[in-house]
Amino acid sequence: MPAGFDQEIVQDFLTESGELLGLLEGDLLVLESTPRDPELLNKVFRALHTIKGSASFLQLTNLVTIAHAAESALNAARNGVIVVGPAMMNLLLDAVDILKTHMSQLAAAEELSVPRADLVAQLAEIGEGKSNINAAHTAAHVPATPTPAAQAPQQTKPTTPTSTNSTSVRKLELGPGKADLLDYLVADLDETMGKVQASLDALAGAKDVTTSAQSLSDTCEQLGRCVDFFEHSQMGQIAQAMAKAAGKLTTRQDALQSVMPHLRSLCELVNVQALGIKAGEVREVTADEVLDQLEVASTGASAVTPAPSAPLGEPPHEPVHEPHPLAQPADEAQPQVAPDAKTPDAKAEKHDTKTVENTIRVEIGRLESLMNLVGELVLQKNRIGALTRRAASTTIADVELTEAFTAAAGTLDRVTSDIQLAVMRTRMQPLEKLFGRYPRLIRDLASKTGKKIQLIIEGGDTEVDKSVIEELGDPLIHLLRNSCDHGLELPEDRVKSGKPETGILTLRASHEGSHVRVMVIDDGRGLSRERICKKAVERGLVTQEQVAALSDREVWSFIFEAGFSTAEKVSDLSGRGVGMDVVRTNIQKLKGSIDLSSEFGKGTTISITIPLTVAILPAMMVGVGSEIYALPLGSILEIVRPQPEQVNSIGGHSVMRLRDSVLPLVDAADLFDQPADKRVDSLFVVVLQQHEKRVGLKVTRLIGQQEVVIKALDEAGASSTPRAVSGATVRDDGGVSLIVDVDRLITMAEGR
Amino acid sequence: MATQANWTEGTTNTGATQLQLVTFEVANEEFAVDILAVQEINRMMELTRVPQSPAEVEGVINLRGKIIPVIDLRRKFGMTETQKSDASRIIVVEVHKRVIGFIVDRVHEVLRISSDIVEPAPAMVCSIDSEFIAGVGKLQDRLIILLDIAKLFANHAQNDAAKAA
Repeated sequence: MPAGFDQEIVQDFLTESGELLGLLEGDLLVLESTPRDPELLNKVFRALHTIKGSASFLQLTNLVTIAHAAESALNAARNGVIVVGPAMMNLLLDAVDILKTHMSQLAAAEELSVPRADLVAQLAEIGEGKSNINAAHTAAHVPATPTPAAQAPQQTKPTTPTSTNSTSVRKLELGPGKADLLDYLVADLDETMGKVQASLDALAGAKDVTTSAQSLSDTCEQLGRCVDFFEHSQMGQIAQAMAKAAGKLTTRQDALQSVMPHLRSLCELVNVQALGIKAGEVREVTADEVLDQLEVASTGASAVTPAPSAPLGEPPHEPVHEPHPLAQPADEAQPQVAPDAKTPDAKAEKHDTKTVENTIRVEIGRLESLMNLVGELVLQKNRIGALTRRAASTTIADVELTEAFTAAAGTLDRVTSDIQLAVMRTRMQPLEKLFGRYPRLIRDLASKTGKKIQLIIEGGDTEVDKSVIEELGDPLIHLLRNSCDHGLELPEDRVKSGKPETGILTLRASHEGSHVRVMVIDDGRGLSRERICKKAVERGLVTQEQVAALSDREVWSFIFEAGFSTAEKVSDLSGRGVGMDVVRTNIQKLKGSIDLSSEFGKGTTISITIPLTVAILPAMMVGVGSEIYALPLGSILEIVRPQPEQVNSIGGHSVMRLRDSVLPLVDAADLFDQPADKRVDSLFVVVLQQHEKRVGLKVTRLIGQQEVVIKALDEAGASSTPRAVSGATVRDDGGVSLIVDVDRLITMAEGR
Repeated sequence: MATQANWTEGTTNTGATQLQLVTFEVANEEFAVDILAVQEINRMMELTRVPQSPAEVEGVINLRGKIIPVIDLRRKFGMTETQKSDASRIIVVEVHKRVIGFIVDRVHEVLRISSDIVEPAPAMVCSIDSEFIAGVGKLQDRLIILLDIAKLFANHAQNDAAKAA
């Protein structure tokens, strides 16, 4: 635990680095399949570096050690000294695991453990280029990809070749204190350059010139600061000139046109130099001319007198062609660089605009209180609506006024609905957050079981409520494990049955109205009806005679029974028969449902359907005496009004005959200890079902169906007596109703 | 006076100071709580009874979308219960980061008194448990019982903490 540091700083570190670490892990796995993607290598490297940087600020020495080792290994990969092969990937993932452990230790305010020395040493060796890990790969690739070339494809600005034409090159030498930071600042420079480019583009195309000019000026200044670090005087000079000119930018079209091309050319030049720095060189370029031109154009443009172009002897549109002498060689040289040089470039730019901070962290409590307030706003809106209708129906109504009222109430209605939706959306998060954890899981499972598995994730951008994401994590892990362990076969078995060696496991999410469907699909061996039936008969769930009549669906439903497993041997992964029933319970907790289909030999599909949010529950409002309760609609089978002869008493307990079955009856007034003076005869019976168990609840009246917002019942000194209430909600009229906990109700009914 | 110092926490800077209180009446006795603890004072509204809850919990109300428990002080103090009248109010306070309402017969005024005139609670000052009393303010014409709401609602707050843990 870092002594003397603000808990808040540590917390920030945990959140931020935890997130980075999550992304890092995902990226590493992608990297495994595309080990030479320079952009990805950089991304991974940067993430690691940021974690290391923050950690060293917090003096988390052990964390820094391992992060540093992994970073230097990655750096070797970045420089093309080594290619990330499986062996190295294992080391990197181990390092990530250690970092994760450190995070949780930090969160628990424990001492950070010392990272495994052998791991650190191995990683460091790779970093120094000494290691012969994946020797085969390295030998094959190193000669083919010398250092600068390894970096070239990702950063090939069209101007690269220009540099060789018009630059003088010397080696970049920085003091020892700076050398350490070099990589980081190069990344920073990259990013800033991207921003400058983006601002220039925005200014060229935007209508809102004032803001664009401002942002260009800001980014140029940023560039100036950024360049300072490299002690590259000419580069600094250019950056300064750019910042200066950008600061003077006016909104006048002609002025802009005369300055912009110069800015663009300078931007290209800085780019050339930035590339040089990446390659460890200081490139001097011929920039004086452009600098002068910019100076003239900028001063002229910002002067009050118009037509500054006259002294330059150029019509305003002419300077537009100015950068071409510079850009031209680049175009000619195009064939030399990778043919798709433009694509990664565009990608890099897109990426850069994305990294500009456009999110803020908000404490979840604040969102919740906002939600509450919006709920209240909706209630008030309803009340106004009701009052307006009443005003309209009175005879003395002023017609004009009433109409104005109605219109205003209508607008209010729309606005509040929009607000409600917007606030709900703030709690929504993409499933990506959850899915991102699984590639690692599958990778580990695959190596443990010796299977070849390809995980395909689709629809990760599907958004659901934060609480749903949290609750969905464990069930999905169960399902994925099941599919890996039982569903998918070993490579040789797959080949025997005529399938490709690699099993495909698909995790797919999609929206379906107000629900989200998540599917886990494998192309494995599928469920065996025979084996499940045999097991079901053994366990006495069904008799041998009944089996034949069962539909597939009914047979599959057995595997959701507690303790049901057809696995012959219990493995580390699954087969203990806990799992599917836990999955089902968890999904039901989310008010969702789970469905399974399977074809023997072809594979299994499990699909989970869950509501977008758990905060809203469709409910039936019922009156019990003078009180109103909410019953979850999903648990209601039917509502009946029994004839007196249908109701009997067995052993003092009231029961009801409903068609062929006998239903235990519970009077809601008894259940909720209603005082005798408030009781009214209950005429209706609501038949409730949960987990195949049924009970009839006697209520006084039926009020209607309503979508209710579930709220925690914050009740002082709640007694330990169990009671059939799961929460509370606010009704249309502003009053509070309790939500009935059907599960508990049934347990209580059985207990009497 | 440790109890008092504790009780006036947040009200004062140091030393003998002014206390700002909200005074109210329960069963013809005058009580007061620190004004800083009071979030709002509401007219009586419809309460929703919660089955199987402690006797003193009268029910829950909707406070702008948040469901909060409301405690009947008469019941809490073991006094005779009466019908709620037009003058009855629900005082909403924040205790241990929890919002709790309690019902009083009527609310009197906002009062400033000097902490000098507050004395520790005598063993038998009135019908209520002296544990809940932070002190007694001796005014010229009357006595005001200063309630220690942190202690008064301690069991509720603890219960909440236990639930959270």
